[in-house]
Amino acid sequence: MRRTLRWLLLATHVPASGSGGGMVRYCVELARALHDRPDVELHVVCTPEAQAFFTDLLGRDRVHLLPAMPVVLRSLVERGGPRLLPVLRQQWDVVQGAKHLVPRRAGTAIRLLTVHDMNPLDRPADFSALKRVGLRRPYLASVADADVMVCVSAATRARLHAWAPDADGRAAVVHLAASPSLLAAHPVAVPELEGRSYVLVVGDSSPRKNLALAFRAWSGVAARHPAAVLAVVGPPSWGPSQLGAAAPLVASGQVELLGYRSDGELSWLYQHAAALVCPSQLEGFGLPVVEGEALGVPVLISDDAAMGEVGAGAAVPLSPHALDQWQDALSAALEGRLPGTSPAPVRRAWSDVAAETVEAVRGAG
Amino acid sequence: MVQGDLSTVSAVDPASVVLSVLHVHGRAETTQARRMAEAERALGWQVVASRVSPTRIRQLASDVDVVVLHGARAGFVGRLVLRGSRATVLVPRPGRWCASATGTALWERWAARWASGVLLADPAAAATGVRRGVWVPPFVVGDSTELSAAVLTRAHAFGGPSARLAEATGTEGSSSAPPGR
Repeated sequence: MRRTLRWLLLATHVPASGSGGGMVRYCVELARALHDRPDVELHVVCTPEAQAFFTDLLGRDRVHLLPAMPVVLRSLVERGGPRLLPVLRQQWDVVQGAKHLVPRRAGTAIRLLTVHDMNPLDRPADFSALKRVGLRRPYLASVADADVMVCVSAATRARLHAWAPDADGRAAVVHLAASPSLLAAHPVAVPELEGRSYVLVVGDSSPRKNLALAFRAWSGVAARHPAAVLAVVGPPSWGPSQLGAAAPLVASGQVELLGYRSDGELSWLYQHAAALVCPSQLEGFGLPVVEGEALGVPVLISDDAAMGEVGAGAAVPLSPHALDQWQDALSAALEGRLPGTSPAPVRRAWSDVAAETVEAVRGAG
Repeated sequence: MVQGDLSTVSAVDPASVVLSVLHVHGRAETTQARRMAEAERALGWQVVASRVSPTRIRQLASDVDVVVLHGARAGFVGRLVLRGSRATVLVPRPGRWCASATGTALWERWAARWASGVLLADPAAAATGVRRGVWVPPFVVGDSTELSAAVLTRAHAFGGPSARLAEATGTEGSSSAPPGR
């Protein structure tokens, strides 16, 4: 039996509901999977609003609070180390930063950083001026300080190496997995789309997600398939949005903006879609790709390297410059001519993600 | 689906995309500029080469998808003229990226906002740029013209840095994605 690791996960970005975008889902699913392991004693640092959620998940004695404060201040505290975050003075084997930062110091603990992407550096224009300028140095300093890093894709590791060549040798690739709650959810029909033929887009509307490409392509597809709908699921963008480009298509009923949907509804949407479209320009991983494949929907992706890696062999990559190819592929999907429509076996679970993360840590210890 | 190192830059073979590229160089065309241009022509891309001249750059850049600036002089003039309105990729001479005086470093920091990326031969050069606070996305491509071409297609997909910033801040500009072909 291997020695039990006392593991502290910084989870201050998780909201009260425990649900949210990619980084929130990563933190919650990894916490669940690590907690299930006999060789990990998982604790989390969270804000008071998420206390009940994590107490239900882990138990009261495993939850440590950081007082509510603005995000910038919270990041400074997390980065500041034991002086600002007293829980770090305890004896830990691993302290994991799951959102860009690890503490400057953490005693003898191995500092583990999850590298979701290098977007703040590779596409700074997508971020507010404060984040654009304020995040890059602490992020790269965290990369320099981390003893071990887990990158969610080889493409992300390549970008990490480009920005921080000395990270070589400290960074492992640990792919994510589809959400178990999504895969287990009982499908719940979405009335707006019941009995209709549609193509699905999953993701927020920030410029990086490139919904504008899907809207442009759909204008041509709608002429060939007037009854078909482009269904867009996702939370509002945290910054600028491309939904404005869809206004005429929404008005004419060719695009349905569905907003946030439950796991049951999302499961139904995946399973009844003619295709899943992922036009994003830059992803660290591309979770909808694995979710779509797991639920048996044909997947069209852009030229993004991470999505190409994650969807290798199953997703169809298309150049964002070839609008006609997108339109042909979308038409083929609506006519049932796109290959790969049988549900793919689930290749990975979050227990695999946790196991590989623990291995990366033990390899460094 | 692309394989190997190329797969860490793009999921689509750059040969499947037809781009028009302007290569701007100093007094003499560098070997790297010549090699890149030859490889791009072999992909069926439209390639134009020009010596550094603000007027020429302004004229030619309006008709191309990506502008590639070779060397310090082209990097200086090209960025000053275009100011990120086009996808702009820098190709410094080997060993010269952020290697010189303080004044140059200050300029590079300021002009970083007008560049989509910088093609570098080795990781040490990338580290130098970051150490000096020059936040141009680095791509370590060695001498691979295939990787360089993939970076150019990605730069085109992202669009001009200024256009993206304008879209992000809602000041002006349109979609970050280029028109389809």
